[in-house]
Amino acid sequence: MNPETWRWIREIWSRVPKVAVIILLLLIVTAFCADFLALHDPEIGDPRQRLLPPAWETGGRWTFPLGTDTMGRDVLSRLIYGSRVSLLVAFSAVIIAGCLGTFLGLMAGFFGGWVDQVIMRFTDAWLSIPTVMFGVLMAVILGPGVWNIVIILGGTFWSRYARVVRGETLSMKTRDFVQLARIAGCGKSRIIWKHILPNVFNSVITLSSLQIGIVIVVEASLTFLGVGVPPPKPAWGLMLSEGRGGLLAGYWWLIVFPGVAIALLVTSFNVIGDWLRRYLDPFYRNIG
Amino acid sequence: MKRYIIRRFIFGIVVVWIVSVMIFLATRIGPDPALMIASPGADEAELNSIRDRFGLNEPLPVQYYIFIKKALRADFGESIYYGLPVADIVWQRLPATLMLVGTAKLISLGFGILAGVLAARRRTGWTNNFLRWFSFLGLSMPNFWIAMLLILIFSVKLKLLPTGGYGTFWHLLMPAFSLGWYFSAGYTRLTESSLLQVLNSEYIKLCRVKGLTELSVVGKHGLKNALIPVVTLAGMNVVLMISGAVAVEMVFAWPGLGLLMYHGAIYRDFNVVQAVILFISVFMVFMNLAVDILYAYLDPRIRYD
Amino acid sequence: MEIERIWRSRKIMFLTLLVILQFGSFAVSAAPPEGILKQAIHWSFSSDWLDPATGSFPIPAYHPLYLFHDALLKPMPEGLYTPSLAESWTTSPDARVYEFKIRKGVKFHNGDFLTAEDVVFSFLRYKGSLAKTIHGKLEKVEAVGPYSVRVRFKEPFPEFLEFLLPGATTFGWIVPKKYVEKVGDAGFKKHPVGAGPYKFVEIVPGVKLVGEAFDDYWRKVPHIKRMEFYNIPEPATRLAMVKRGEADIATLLQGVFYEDLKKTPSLRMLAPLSPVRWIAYPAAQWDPKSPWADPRVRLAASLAIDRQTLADVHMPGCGPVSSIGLEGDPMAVDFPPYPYDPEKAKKLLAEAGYPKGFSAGKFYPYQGGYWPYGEQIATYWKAVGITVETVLLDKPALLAMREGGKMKGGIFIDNPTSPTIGGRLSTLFSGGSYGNYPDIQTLWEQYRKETSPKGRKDLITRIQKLIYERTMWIPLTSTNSPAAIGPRVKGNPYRIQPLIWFTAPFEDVELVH
Repeated sequence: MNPETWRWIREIWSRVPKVAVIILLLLIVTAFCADFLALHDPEIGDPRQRLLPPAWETGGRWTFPLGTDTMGRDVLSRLIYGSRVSLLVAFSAVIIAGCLGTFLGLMAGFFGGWVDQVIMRFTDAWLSIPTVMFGVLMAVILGPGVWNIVIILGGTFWSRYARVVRGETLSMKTRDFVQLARIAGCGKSRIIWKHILPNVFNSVITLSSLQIGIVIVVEASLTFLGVGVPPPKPAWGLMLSEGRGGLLAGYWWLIVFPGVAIALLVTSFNVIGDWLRRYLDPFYRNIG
Repeated sequence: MKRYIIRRFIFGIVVVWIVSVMIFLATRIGPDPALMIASPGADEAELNSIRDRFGLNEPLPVQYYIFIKKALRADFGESIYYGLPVADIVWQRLPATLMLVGTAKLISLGFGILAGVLAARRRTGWTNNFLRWFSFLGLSMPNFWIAMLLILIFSVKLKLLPTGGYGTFWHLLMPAFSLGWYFSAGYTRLTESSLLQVLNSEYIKLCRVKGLTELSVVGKHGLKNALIPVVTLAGMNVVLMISGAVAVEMVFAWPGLGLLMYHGAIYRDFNVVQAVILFISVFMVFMNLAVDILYAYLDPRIRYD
Repeated sequence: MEIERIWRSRKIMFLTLLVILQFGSFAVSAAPPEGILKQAIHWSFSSDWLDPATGSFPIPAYHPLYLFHDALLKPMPEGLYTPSLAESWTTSPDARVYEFKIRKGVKFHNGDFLTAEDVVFSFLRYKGSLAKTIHGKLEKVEAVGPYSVRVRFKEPFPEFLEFLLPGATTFGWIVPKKYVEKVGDAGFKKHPVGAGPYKFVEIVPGVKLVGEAFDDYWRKVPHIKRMEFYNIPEPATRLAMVKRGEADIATLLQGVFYEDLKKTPSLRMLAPLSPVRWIAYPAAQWDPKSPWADPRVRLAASLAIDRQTLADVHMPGCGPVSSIGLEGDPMAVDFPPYPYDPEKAKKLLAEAGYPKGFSAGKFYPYQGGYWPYGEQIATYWKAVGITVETVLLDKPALLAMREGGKMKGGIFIDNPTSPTIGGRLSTLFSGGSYGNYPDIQTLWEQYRKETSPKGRKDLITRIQKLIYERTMWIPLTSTNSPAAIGPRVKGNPYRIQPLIWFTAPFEDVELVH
């Protein structure tokens, strides 16, 4: 790598919110290396070893550092593998929502006219449907499964992208460089892909980083309601749901650890997203 | 101005129509609801009589037509599970949801705006930091988890508040807080940036020059203008709040629309599900309409969108 | 600066207000007054259940019936067929004519006296589950004098009395003719009147149900003045309510909640048995190419499961079972329990030609949403080499697939709920994805036509033996419904077991003084 790149990296590093980025990288690495890090199989447990507390409490054992759940499965292993599922679901859903929403937003903003109206009405309709409720309905109908959840989540969150991208596209259309491209005789799709999209990309990234947090929390809610990631797959939302009686019963480790994991992940994304927003484009403070 | 209102209104109708089609189709895919009510091993004749009772034997477009016709008369059919007209059940549960969402909104706006104002005024001090972190924390925890923590602390350990159910102001407190905390972060950030922008504007400088008191400048003129985008965001967030209420209602057994819809989905009581989602969507569409019109009234530039 | 001062004083005011208001909250933590019993239950009341004519078959639907209504005969602590509104009955030898002698002096809540006319009216009015079947067989119903009713069927109907039990139909529950005719069906659902121990006060569907004692109830005056039931879907909240004294009973606390309950000294745990028994049914056995078609394989699968540990963990108080009949059912046969023997299971598999095990298809372990049990079974099977792919579907989806015959080749956990062995076998022989062996089918058809009690018992015993020998299905466990009982409740309020797992009879429930 040449010194140019190094300087670039160092400059970026000096500005990013370091803690958040480190936490996020750690979580991603954990997700990738789950097979090497976890001590036990996350899906199989011995019912006779159930509800053991974390190792530092009385009754705990160091083979199960963070304790076991109601089915005797190791909490730590489930947390580690769970990062994989949670991150996979969140990223996939956001990518799907992002692609779909950006595409529709570009179409609406660029072509205007009735294309714009139709897409916008559709977007409005989608935005006025209560997300979790619709998610519950679709999950109940489509049945359980990780990919079903991804599709449902992706299919519900695209509307915010469409709105934002459309707005940006509209303002881009009047800018000089786009007018120049038009005069130069560029085809429509070339203009969209080569000129408008790269400039819209910044907002899409910012929005995505903020949306991931929401998607993770919504997925946790759907799983809590029994219509999210199905057991026995380890997912943090599922661990919260399975262990929810534990809080009142004194089995705090069932919920505290996955809850903290979710909080860390979501907060890191939010901090990074917030920073991105301020760093990349002050125009978008009012997105909310 | 009038043209703008009419255009927006027509758009609203179109959106409602699209929602009705989507909801209708969504509830019609999937297994036959008649199987849920009939006894196991019921023969085809019995299943058919159940289907007749709920009009399930007609072709889809006919069913949709009947559905829309009845809906316009506020007749949403009968609940397969509860055996009562859906409109009655929804009406019964509506006040609970309104109370919950309304109070949650107030709480989230209260905290959020307060924190944002303090942040904008650059007050360093424990109040400011605490409120800021409080808002951020609310973003990262699922509301049902917060709900259970609250029950653990305030109901079981401290014995101060009732656990669940509906009835008094005290029953409302924990559910509203669990629901609202999440949203206060957005309001904090927005209030802060918006207030900063407004306070640096020419208009405020003019107010100061005129010699108005600081309270009047910041409180009356500054805040009033700064809060416009916050109110807009609050409006957009209502639908998120209503949908987030499902999990909270489940934990507290709060008898609102969220729980009703969830139960309906599980039991394939599609009349109920349709009615609840449609009702909420229509409410949202017309609320956005009202906000849009208000905005256009306040800021004439928007009318030419 | 001025603003800061104002903000600060406002903060102080707000905090002071909060503190003052807190003291008012102590009023909420008071326990419910004498004579009221509050229950936090896990199911959701439907208005359909208030009217016996539209009642459905699941056991929770019988809750309002036992509360507000009464029947000719119903399961009580004394037995499955306890005479209630009917003092006695006779059956003709050809099982076509039944005569019921109606109890005298029974009052409805509105003061009307119950006569044979009301019985005839209720019978003809019935449109609940299996209504078409019964009305199809019915030839004539008539009142023979004011206190006797005769029912005649077109063909022999030896199972009629079984049909009157909860879990089958609500045909035998009687409503007041004059009142129903006056207010109509819709009016009746809004405010039902019956002959039961409690008067209807209010219902908010899915939220709560309230009843008040009926002092003129024929059997006895109810001990408790007022019964309130709250639908609380979240078990953590139910348990918290009982711990705090906001409710006296909380139902269905499984898994972690059960562990918590065990550790709480102020609460008792009672686990009324539920009439449901779980079996694992390999529908794939009807496919001659499937490994499941070999009875040795099925037996192996049965021996691979450690039922006792499963029971200890998930269904405490329930024993492993080896048959699907209920205790107390005279027609049910019990068999010696299956031991936990994974070694023998592996040997059997090897004999059958699968020494390394086999891939066993899809496994659908839905049981009331409590899937950990099924998951564990998949693990046990994996340990002997039977690999299944676990698919979780909820009840409606499962029902649809079963009835549609789309689940051939799957294994699923079924839960027959009929009150009698006859009913259970009927369900298991008739689902769309199930089949039957020709010899068993012949015996079954004979059984349905047979009218002599001895003949019926003989036939059904032979059927059950054949099923056991072939391991047609794998019985797993009986089930129960662990509930938390608060200190105000006296004794054991669950007295009609194992068929009724709510606090019945309601008039018998008592509070500690």
